[in-house]
Amino acid sequence: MKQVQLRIRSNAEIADNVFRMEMEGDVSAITTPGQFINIRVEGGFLRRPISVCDVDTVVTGTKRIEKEAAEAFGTSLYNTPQMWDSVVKEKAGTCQENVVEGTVTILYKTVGAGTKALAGRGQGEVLDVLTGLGNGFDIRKAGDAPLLVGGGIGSAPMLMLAKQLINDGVRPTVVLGFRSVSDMILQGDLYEIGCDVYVATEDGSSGMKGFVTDQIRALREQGMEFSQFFACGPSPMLKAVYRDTQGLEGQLSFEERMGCGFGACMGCSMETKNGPKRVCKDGPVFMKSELLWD
Amino acid sequence: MERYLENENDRLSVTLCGIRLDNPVIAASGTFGYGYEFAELYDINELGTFSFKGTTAKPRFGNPTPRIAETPSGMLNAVGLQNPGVDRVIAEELPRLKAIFHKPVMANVSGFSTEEYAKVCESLDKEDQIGWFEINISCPNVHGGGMGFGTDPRLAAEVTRAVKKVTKKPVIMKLTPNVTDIAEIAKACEAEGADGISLINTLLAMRIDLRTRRPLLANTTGGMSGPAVFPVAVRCVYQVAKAVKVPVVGLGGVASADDVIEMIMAGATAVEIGAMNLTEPFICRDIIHELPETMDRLGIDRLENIIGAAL
Ligand SMILES: Cc1cc2nc3c(=O)[nH]c(=O)nc-3n(C[C@H](O)[C@H](O)[C@H](O)COP(=O)(O)OP(=O)(O)OC[C@H]3O[C@@H](n4cnc5c(N)ncnc54)[C@H](O)[C@@H]3O)c2cc1C
Ligand SMILES: Cc1cc2nc3c(=O)[nH]c(=O)nc-3n(C[C@H](O)[C@H](O)[C@H](O)COP(=O)(O)O)c2cc1C
Ligand code: FES
Repeated sequence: MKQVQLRIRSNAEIADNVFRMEMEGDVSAITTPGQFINIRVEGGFLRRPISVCDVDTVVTGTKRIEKEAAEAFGTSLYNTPQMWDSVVKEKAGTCQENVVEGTVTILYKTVGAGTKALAGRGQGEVLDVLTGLGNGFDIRKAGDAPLLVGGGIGSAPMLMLAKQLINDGVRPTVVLGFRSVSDMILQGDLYEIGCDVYVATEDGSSGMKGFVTDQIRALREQGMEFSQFFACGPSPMLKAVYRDTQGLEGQLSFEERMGCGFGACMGCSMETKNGPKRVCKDGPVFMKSELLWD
Repeated sequence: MERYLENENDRLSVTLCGIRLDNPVIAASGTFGYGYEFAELYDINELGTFSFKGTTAKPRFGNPTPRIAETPSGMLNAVGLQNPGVDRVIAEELPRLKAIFHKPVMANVSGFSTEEYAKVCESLDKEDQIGWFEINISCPNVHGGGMGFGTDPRLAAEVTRAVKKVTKKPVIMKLTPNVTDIAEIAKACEAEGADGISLINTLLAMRIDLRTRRPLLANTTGGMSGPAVFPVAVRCVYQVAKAVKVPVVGLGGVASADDVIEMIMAGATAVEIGAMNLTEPFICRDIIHELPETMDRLGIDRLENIIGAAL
């Protein structure tokens, strides 16, 4: 975890009452998709927890040269440490210290005073944020045919997750559910990076009419097989996905009212098969096998 | 330079029930876990000390969620004393703590009967790292215990007596503001040998969700804390400090170096910081760093010289 000041780069409405905000600054504490950040909002005492939708890291200084050299030539070229050292040091000559700077993107829905205050903040303004909170998804368990399931604003973490999977050479199938086409988010972004994207809307205004579970069932009936599911959304959706995915292991991201967001207050506890867990610190992602929903 | 630093340290240090604190800032029970989360952020040995999560005889999950709600300049919690139970605190938490915290720590103890308070204290008494006991007879979030002991002077006295019997370590009784006459409770504890009084625990409160028309907290009521309660806490500390001779630890809504000094002027020897740790995780460290400058501004040489200045 880090406490950082992030500068707003953009903040715009992308669907009904849903905003996409890009912030720049030290995002080095954000390491895993499914993590969240906790934002101080005007007039609020508690911070507001919001999932990381995407992160773009820019590295400066010697670290950057190292990264660029590795990308250009492969690390094998510099097979002696001395050689590597001299090349990097020479190029780094005038570089400043290593700083991991970058941008973090969040998607948030305006539901109350805090998120409405966020919507009113503009480019160049600075937010006080705790970053790198929570465990995030365990991407090593993804297998070769991961299924990503997002419900409404809960779709947000799926972008960073999908990007990492694709980076690892795996093409995920994504099922997104919304009330209506006017709530739809991320479907275009996920498609563009190469995911198979399926949408279900409750009113049938886009994609299949129904819930994400209807869409998942249809895909499985067509013979699609999955290695692991990753789900984030409202709790009725999580329960339905849990119930409808017999024989399939998965990871589910939870929400709870939070006092701190970093494990200090026991405000957000949840009972699991392995005892009580803090949604903010031990979660928000829990394995299907840990849950007490049977 | 060396001497200057020594003086700087002296300016802040206070003695709480015979134990010297480098500074009066104590992180409050329930808002600092067992210190690990904060140790990731800064050296928690900078603190005067901290009071760890309320410990009971058996492990407790606490109340159902939601158990946190926001209020203007503060929060409600209805955690309900979630803790791993005294045996695991001794077997797991304290050894881990020893590795990161090298000062005497305050053990916050809760219970549902006089016997439970005594039993937990007896078990913890053998632990060297525990400097003080802080006996929580003021938790509003449990049924059939907690605050029940802190609202009746006879029961408060009974718990004090029982705990004093099983330990030689200083016993600080933690009081609830949810009473008509807080000084009376403090005096009852002092009469039974309490070595100090800390106050306030949270104020009994509730909020309602306008959409569902139901209480926001699953437990219906919760305890209110944070900056909103500061003036109530100052009043309580003042009343108790006037009524007893033992040292008083002041807490409730403390959010700045100015607040720390106000509490000390109201009669507190040391000051705890609770809810603010949750939203500003560096607050205790920052306040400690700000104290010398604040003291300069107010013409205060040493904090010990202004304890109870307003009495
Ligand atoms: C791990 C996690 C990740 C989240 N990710 C996102 C996201 O990516 N996008 C998004 O739009 N929302 C997300 N949420 C929900 C978001 O935190 C709430 O919508 C937001 O806090 C509401 O604040 P408010 O002031 O607008 O609402 P109010 O109702 O006025 O808030 C009052 C209090 O209740 C809390 N609260 C209200 N709703 C929730 C909720 N659903 N979960 C937790 N606390 C709540 C607030 O934080 C605040 O303390 C996430 C929640 C968690 C726990
Ligand atoms: C989430 C939370 C948990 C708490 N748990 C305990 C506890 O276990 N034992 C205790 O004596 N007080 C507990 N308290 C009360 C605080 O220690 C403190 O007395 C109170 O919050 C007032 O101080 P503040 O306004 O600085 O928070 C808790 C408070 C909060 C906010
Ligand atoms: S919100 Fe404080 S422990 Fe999770």
